[in-house]
Amino acid sequence: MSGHHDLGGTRTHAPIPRAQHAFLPWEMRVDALMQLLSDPQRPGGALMSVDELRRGIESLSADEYRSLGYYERWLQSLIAIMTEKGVLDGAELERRFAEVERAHEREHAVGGAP
Amino acid sequence: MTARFQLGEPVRVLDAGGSGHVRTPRYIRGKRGVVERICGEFRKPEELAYGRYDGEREPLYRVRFAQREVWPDYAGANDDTLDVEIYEHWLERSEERR
Repeated sequence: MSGHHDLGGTRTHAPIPRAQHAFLPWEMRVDALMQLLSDPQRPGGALMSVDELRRGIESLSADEYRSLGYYERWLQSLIAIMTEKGVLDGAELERRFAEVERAHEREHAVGGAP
Repeated sequence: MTARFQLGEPVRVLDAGGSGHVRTPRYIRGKRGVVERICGEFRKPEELAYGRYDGEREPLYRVRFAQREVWPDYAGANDDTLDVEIYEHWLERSEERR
């Protein structure tokens, strides 16, 4: 692993934004999803650990790691780990994404049915 | 598993490369500190990260470092410290007390 995520002690001249922001609904959903998947009380036991989440995040390429936001990294890792374990199927996921996109387009089409 | 290091014992973080998922940050590797507390026993992140949930538990220590030891150009107070939680297999005995 290249360790591009291990930033402690790295010099930067860029300003560090210290303001906290309100979480968006999708960010809270990603967090909730992780809580549910890693819950040992879950029927059948936890499907993943926080350490696997971190490994998935660290496996992102340096470019992806830098360009994605915090919960975007989580989501990419959740998808990768769940795909690795056969819980998610890449092709099925693509199909569902396409369905959601089409539904979204229909809803927002100009002059479309209310 | 018995803790190998005692409270107040000087320790040194291994200066190992480590491949795959590692919880010991690079900036602290090779640095010397003192055991501030024994946090308990936990499974290794290096194993948990690859889906091995039933591995052996090992002691986790909170190690206190002098900021001047960690950052050679540290400009703050001499007695400023930094605490890092480190798993036993990342530590070795250190003769030199800081």
